[in-house]
Amino acid sequence: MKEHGRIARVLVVAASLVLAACSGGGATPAGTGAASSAPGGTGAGGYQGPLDWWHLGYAPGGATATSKLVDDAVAAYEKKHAGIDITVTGIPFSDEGLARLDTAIAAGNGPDIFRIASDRLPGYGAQGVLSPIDEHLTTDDKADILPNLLEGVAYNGQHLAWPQWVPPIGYYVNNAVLEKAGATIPTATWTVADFVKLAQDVSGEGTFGFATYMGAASVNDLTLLYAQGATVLSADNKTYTLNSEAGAKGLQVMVDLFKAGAMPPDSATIKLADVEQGFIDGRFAIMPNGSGSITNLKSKGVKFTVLPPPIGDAGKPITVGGMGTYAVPKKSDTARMAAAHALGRYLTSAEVAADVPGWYLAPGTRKSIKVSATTPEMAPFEEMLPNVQFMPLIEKWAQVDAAIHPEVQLALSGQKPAKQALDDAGAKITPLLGK
Amino acid sequence: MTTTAERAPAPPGRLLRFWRRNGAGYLFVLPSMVFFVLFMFLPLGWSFVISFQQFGLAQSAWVGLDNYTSLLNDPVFRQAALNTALYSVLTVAVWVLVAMVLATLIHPLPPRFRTFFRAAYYLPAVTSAVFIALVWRWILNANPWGLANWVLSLFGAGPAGFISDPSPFLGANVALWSVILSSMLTIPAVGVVLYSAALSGIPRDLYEAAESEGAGAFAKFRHITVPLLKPITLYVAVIYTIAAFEVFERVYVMTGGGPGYATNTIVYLIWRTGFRFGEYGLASAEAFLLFLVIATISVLQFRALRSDVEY
Repeated sequence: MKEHGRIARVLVVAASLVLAACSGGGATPAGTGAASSAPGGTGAGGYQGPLDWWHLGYAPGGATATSKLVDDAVAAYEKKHAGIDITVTGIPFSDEGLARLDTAIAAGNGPDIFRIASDRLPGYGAQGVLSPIDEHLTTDDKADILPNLLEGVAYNGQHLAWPQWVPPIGYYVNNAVLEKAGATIPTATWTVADFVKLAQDVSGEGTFGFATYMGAASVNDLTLLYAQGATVLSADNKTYTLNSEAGAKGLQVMVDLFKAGAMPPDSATIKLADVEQGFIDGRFAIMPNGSGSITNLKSKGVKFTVLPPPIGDAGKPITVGGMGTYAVPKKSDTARMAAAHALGRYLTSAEVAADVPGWYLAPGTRKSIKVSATTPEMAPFEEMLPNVQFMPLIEKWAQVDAAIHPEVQLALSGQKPAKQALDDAGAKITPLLGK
Repeated sequence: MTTTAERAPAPPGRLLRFWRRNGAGYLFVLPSMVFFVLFMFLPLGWSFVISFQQFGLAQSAWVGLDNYTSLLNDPVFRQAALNTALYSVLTVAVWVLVAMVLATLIHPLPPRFRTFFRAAYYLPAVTSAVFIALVWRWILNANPWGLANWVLSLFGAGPAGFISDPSPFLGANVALWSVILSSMLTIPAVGVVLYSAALSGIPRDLYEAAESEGAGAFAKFRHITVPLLKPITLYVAVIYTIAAFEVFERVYVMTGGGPGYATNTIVYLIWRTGFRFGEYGLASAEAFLLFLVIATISVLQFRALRSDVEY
């Protein structure tokens, strides 16, 4: 008989506590004092000793491409900072993995530094478990980091993490599919009308013009709503606004494409990986996705073009995205914490890009970083940076997100009109904003 | 002459006598009990406590019954509860029936074939539930390459949405019916094995007596096999009810709870509330509501199916 779900949950939580307790035990600082990492320094100050770095999806021994990059970054940093001994621990890239991280941080057994998406920062900020980067930001840092991206890690007046990169959502166009259909690859100034026509023109005989993931934590499907000028929340994050005329119009574009057979029939439940696989197989002509797909598509020999989302009523190519960051949990050992901040600065700098070729899988947040210099396919994403809109940095974002996507799916499936679907999402979201 | 009777040694105390008689046994089960208390009983008790809290990893606040009342007023939770109930009622009924019939069919076979079929039917129990769900996702995929839709296309029908269609259908929705169907069509491995073992314990002379009185195969099944399997039916029904109410991986893999809220189940919501939202208090309240439902149904099953006669 299979193990019961409740037992499994308890074991997961218990195991996470045990593992968390084990992982932090060996860290003994040999620091030289709290003032060892003064602002403006680029190294680890006077601290010598271990640093624990938790990394989502890391597998020891360079088992994956990302893990290899992490190992190389560790080697490069340790070479430059004698006495620093970094231990990288992989945690699953899943909600359960994140729960383990949360539990460990709350218990005070968390890592010295960890990589995390910016939408999780408000949760940590509300609990006050992170050490803000403000007192470690140098003048050079402030001049180098794009101001709108630095604000992407701000919460209650503090900057909670080192911003590393921004993977904005771009529109991947499968060149071979368009060529087969006799269609021309659009330019970066394409409009929503161009997009709709193209998606419909190339559809047929097992090929669908457009496919997107619209499940939990997706922003891909929201690009068409943002293109029309919609946003999920108002600028002060206090009012739900996705049910605006612009939002409904953007959602209607997808609904119409689905009805016209230009989107796959399982669009409402298709997984993110299946969208990418369908694109690789030549079943999907256009897919919205982050820059992380470039490596996979290139390795599979797919010829593709990256465009910004089509221009809608917003009047310019608006895209959405999150931000990858490095955060430092609060610890009583201030020297060790400062050393972790120094590592955070390094991991988000141009220096690491020089030390570890290919480190940046998405456009960096600093002016000094040009990812397209080594990966030309990244250029369109870099050009999108000024027009990136981030999802709201609020504590209840996961709940807000969970209220939107089911309604988008219901609208797509023809169960309710687009406007009503977005209104119904608002009925669930508005009470959350009041809390 | 006076004699002094020798005083008999005082009998050992009741506790000591109990320990001498049973101590070894308790020592043997002690490790298991320690693990049970540490990893089952205490966490369960703790989760019951936090179901009355707005629980945060750094700080918590008592909220009384707020978590429970908000759940009962939440239409998403109510739909998940109805989905779970429908899934459980149908799958448990089918699983019990199929297990009993399959076990009855393979019981008269020669030992070699009986062993083969038992092993074959047990395969689903040793196969990853996630893998089985992935296969069903492919079978019921809405695209023409989904197996079910490919079969339909041979008859000029389809394609059908199956797990992607939230349209109302027979009191539920297409996607939920598809998930339920996928569970019904998965062989109830444990039930087959348990019923097979129980069938071996039914005296052969009961069947011979019935045959001598002219009873046919169905009459024997109905009047001998089914009643004598009642104790095992109770056990199978209870464990399958618990398993059905805790359906998770099938929903997680096949539909992710969608489209919309069409295939949300209670355990799926518990996972989402706890791990995705980080609302452990609310997730604990969901878990305890589920516990109450399962406990109530189990008691009712015991009352309905218990047998005072041991065969």
